[in-house]
Amino acid sequence: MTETAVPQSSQRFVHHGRAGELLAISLVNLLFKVLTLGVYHFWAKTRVRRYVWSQTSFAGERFEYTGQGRELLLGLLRALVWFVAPLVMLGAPVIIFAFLGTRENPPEFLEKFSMVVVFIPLLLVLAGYPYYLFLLGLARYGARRYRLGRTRWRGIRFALAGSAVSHGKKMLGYSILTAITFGIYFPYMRHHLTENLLNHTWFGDQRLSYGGRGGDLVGRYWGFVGLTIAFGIPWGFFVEPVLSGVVEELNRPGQGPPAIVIWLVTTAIGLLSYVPFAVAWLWFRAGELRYYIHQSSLANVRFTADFRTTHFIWLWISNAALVLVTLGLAYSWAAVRTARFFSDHLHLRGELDFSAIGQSPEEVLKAGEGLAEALDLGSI
Amino acid sequence: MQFDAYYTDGHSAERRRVRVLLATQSLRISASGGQPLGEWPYAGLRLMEEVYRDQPVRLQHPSRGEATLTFDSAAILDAVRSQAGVRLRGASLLRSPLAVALLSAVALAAVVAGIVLALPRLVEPLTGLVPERWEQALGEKVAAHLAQDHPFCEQAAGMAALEALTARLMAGVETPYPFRVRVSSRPGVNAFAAPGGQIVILKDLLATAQTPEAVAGVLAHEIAHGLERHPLKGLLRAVGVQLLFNALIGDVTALDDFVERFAQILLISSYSRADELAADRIAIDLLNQAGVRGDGLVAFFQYMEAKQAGASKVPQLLSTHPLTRERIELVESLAKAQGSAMSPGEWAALRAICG
Repeated sequence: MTETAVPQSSQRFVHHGRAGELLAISLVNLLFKVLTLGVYHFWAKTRVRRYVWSQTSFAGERFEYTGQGRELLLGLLRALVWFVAPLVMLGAPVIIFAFLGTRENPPEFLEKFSMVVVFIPLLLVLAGYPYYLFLLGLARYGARRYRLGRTRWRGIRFALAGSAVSHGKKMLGYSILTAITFGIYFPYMRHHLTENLLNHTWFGDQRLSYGGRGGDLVGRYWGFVGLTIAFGIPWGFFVEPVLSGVVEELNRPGQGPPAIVIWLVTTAIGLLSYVPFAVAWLWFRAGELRYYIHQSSLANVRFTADFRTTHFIWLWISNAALVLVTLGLAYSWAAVRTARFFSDHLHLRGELDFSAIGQSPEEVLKAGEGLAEALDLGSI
Repeated sequence: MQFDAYYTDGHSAERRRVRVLLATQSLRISASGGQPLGEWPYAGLRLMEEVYRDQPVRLQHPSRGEATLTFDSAAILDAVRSQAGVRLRGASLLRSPLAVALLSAVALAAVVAGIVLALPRLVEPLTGLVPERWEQALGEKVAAHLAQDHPFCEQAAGMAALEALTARLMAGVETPYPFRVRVSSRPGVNAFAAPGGQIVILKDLLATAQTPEAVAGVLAHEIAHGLERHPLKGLLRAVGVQLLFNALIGDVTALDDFVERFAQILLISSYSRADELAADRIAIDLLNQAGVRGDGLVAFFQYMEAKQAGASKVPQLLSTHPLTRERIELVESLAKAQGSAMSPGEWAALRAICG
C-alpha cells in the first residue's frame, strides 16, 4: 500500500450523519410508501439522499443534493421507452401477422410468412442479452450524470459530460471482448469504463483526471479468480453436500421444527455458504477502488484512499448481516457506516485553490436517472 | 440583529466570512470589511434542506441564483421568524433527539398497525374482486410448477377411484370453478389446495392413512378450503406481506418469481385458526351428505398429533398443524354418517395410483 501524506486538517471529508435520524426518515418514508402503494419511493429516495449529502462535509462545508422526487418519477417513465420500443418494433409484426393469419387462410398464410413469425421472436431472444448490457451501461452513466448534476458544494455544481449512449455501446463492446477472451479482458473492461466515467466528471469548470492503466489491475483480477477457485473446489465437494444434507433433513415431512424455523435455518445456511465468494469479490473490489482513487486528480490535487482491504471487506459483510438480521431496519445504520467509512478514508494530497474554481458550464439537467431505477441498480 | 455567516456567490468555490443584518424587509449581507454584498428579501427565502441537530443552516434565494448563506447555528431560524414572521419549510423538523425518537416510534407503530389490522381486512374484499378465471389460471401454473420435479400419478384404476370419491363428496355442491384432485409423487404426508380448485394429495399420505375414510376426510377438508377460496386469500396475504417487506428494504419491483415461491409456501404453510376450523365444519357437512364416516379423519388427526408430539416440543400455536385436539373434538361432535368411503378394491387401486 502506498504511503499517504498526513491529510491537511482543513481539507478533509467528515460524515456527520446519525443512524437514529436516518432511521426516523426511513420509517416515515416507509409509512408514506405503504399509504401510496409504493409511489412515494422516488420522494423517499430523494429525502434519504438529501440527508446523506447534507451530512457529509469537505473542508468544513457540507454537500448539497438538489434533486427532486418528481424528476426521478419522470425519469423512470421516460426510461420505459427503452423497454417498450424494441418490444413494439419486433413484437408488433408478429402480432399483426398472427392476427391476419387467423382471418385469412391460416395454413397457406403462415407458410408464406413463416420466416417472419419464426425469425422475429428468435431475434428478440438473441438480441435481448446484448441489448440488456447496452442498457446497463446507458443506465449507469445516466444515473451518475443525474446524481452529479444534482450535487453542489459551495454552490458549485458537479457534472458528468459525455454521452450515455456511447457508454452503453462501450459496455456492450467490452463485454463481448471479455466473453471471447474467456475473461482475460475483464480488468481492462473495468478500467476503460471507469476511465470513461471519471474523465468526463467535472467539478465546476475543473475536470477530474484519471491516469490509470488496465494492465495494473490484471494481478488483482487473477488473484480474485484464484481465490474463487480456492474457495469453490472445497465448497463444491464438501460444504455444499453437507449443507444440502442438513436442509433435506430439516425438510423431512411430518416431524421436526415448525416451518418458519426451517425457513430461517435453511436461508441462513444458504447465505452463509456464499460468504467466501463475496469475500473474494470484495478483495478485488477494494484493490480496484483504491487504485481508481489513487489514479485520480483534480487541478493540482491528487486523491488518496487509505482503507485496508480487511476493513473494506468487514464493512460490507457486516452491513449485509445487519440488514438481513433486522429485516432491513438497520439499513440506515449500514448507510451511515458506509458514508463514514469513505469520508474517513478519502484524502486529498495538495491544497485546492478554491478561488480558481468557477461554476460548471454544463446545463442543469431536466429528468432523473430513470433507467437505473427501471433496471433496479441499487444505490442510495 | 446581526449574525456571522459564510457566503458563496455561486460563481466561484471561494467562501467569504460575512455579517448578516436582519433588516425589516430583507437580510443585509456585508463583507467583514464592511462593503455591502447584497440584500435578500425575506419573501422567497428558502432553506436548502431539513435541519437536524448540530447542523449548519443554509439559505438560498431564487433571485440570487446559486449563492448560499451558511449559518453555524439554528438561532437564525428563530430570529427570521420573530423578525419577519417567515417560517421556513423544514425548519422546525427533528432538531431534538426526542422528536426523532418519537417520530420513529409513531411511524413504526402506524406501519405495524397497518400490517396487523388493515391487511387481514383488505384480503376478504380483494378475494371477491379476483375473477374466477384468473384464479383458475394461477392454480394451473402452481400445479404445473409442482409437477416439474415430481409428476402426478396417473394409474387409471386409482384415478377412477379418486374421481368417484370426489364426485360423491361434491354431489350437489355449487362451485366457482371445476375442482381437480390429483396425487403427486412428491414425498411427504400432506395434502393441500392450490388456488382455482386444484387439490393435491402427496403420495405418502395414502400410504400412511389407515382407512379410505381418513383420505376422504382429508380430501373433504381440502375441498372445503377450495370452496372458501382460502388458497387465494393466503396468496393475497403473502403478496401483501411481500409488498410491505419490499417497501421496507426499498425495492418495489421484485415480484417476478412469486408464483414459484408461492408453490413452495403452499407446501409448508398453514391457514389461520379460523380458516382451519371453518374448513373442518364444511368438510363434516360434505362427509355427512356423502354418507361417509368421520372416524377415519379422527384417527388420522390422532396419528399426526402423536407423531408431532414425539418430534418436537414446540407450542401448538407456532406449529404447522395447530389445534389438533380442538379439531378432533369438533369432528367427533358433528360427524353423523356411518358409511364407508369406497370399496376395498377401489382403496387398493387408489393406494397403488403411483405404481
